[in-house]
Amino acid sequence: MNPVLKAALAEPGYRNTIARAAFHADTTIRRYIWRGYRPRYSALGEVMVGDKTAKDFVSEAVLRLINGRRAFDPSRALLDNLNSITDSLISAEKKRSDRSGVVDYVEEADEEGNPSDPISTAVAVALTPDERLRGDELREDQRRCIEALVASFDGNDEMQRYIEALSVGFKRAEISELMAISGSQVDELRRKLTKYAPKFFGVTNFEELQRRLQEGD
Amino acid sequence: MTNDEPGPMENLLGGLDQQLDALSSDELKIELQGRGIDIDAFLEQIDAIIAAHDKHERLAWMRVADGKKESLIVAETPGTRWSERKPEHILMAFARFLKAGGPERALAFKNKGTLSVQDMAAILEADERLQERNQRKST
Repeated sequence: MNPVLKAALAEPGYRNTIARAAFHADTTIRRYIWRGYRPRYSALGEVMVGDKTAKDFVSEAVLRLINGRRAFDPSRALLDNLNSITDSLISAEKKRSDRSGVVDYVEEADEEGNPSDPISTAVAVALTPDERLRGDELREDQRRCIEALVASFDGNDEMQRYIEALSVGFKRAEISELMAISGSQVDELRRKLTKYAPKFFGVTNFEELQRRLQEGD
Repeated sequence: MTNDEPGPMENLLGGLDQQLDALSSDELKIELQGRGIDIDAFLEQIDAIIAAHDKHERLAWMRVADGKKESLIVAETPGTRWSERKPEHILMAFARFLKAGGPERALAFKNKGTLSVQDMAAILEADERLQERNQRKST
């Protein structure tokens, strides 16, 4: 085992790192939902890609690092190493689960042993009209969801600005600067927003979100 | 926005993920529970994976020692022709044969080019016959 990896796994904070890696893997799967992916859920309610949960992807990432199938990059933190591997595992598993049944081409594996097919990895010159329409619909769905979320915090200007800043991809430090508030105030906004989370985590489209907001779920 | 660029909901989820540093262990656990993830059971599972690997590494020297012991037993067992032994035993014995002969022997076989396992077995048998003959002469 790489000595830096060994040291990282021996640190007392490693369990927190694993928990955060599980959170990241779960978020990665949930982000695919907003790309039109329709996931399954485990008996415990964990979101899945194929038959794997976020925990399965993190376990696999840990195994690959310790048995050397994936090289540990000592210049990056353990969490970054794990997140990079789970991102690639989830992407590969999603592609596999997108292909339902019949495969009319030779299956290949990339250098890490993940299945790679010539169709999904081909560089497209342009989107087909169907793909463009579907992509536009999904983005419109996302935009309407953000609008609904912002509207649901009517009267809370700070939270509304926070959601808008997150939705355009600003990071914590940038939000702090943009809103002229401290980092800890940004963290507090995050806490308040995630308490509201069941309303939008796991919903698969705008109509579902709207229904949950109306039901006060 | 191109098809690869994340949309606003994807950005929002990603942004919440990036702010995990601010959460205490308990808060993180509660958020994970909200997503159906029992983190305590999972951490025990990861601990077990790491412990199993550590044990495997700790005992690696024993496997190396067992391998060497086996090769010595094979090398010292009389009566079996080299051509009838396992390829890995022939390779190990041939490596010992080259080492025992010093740099001249190593160079001679290097100049010979690549040898097959059968060639090595034949050379080892010839060497043993030669040594037996020398022993008989000296006694």
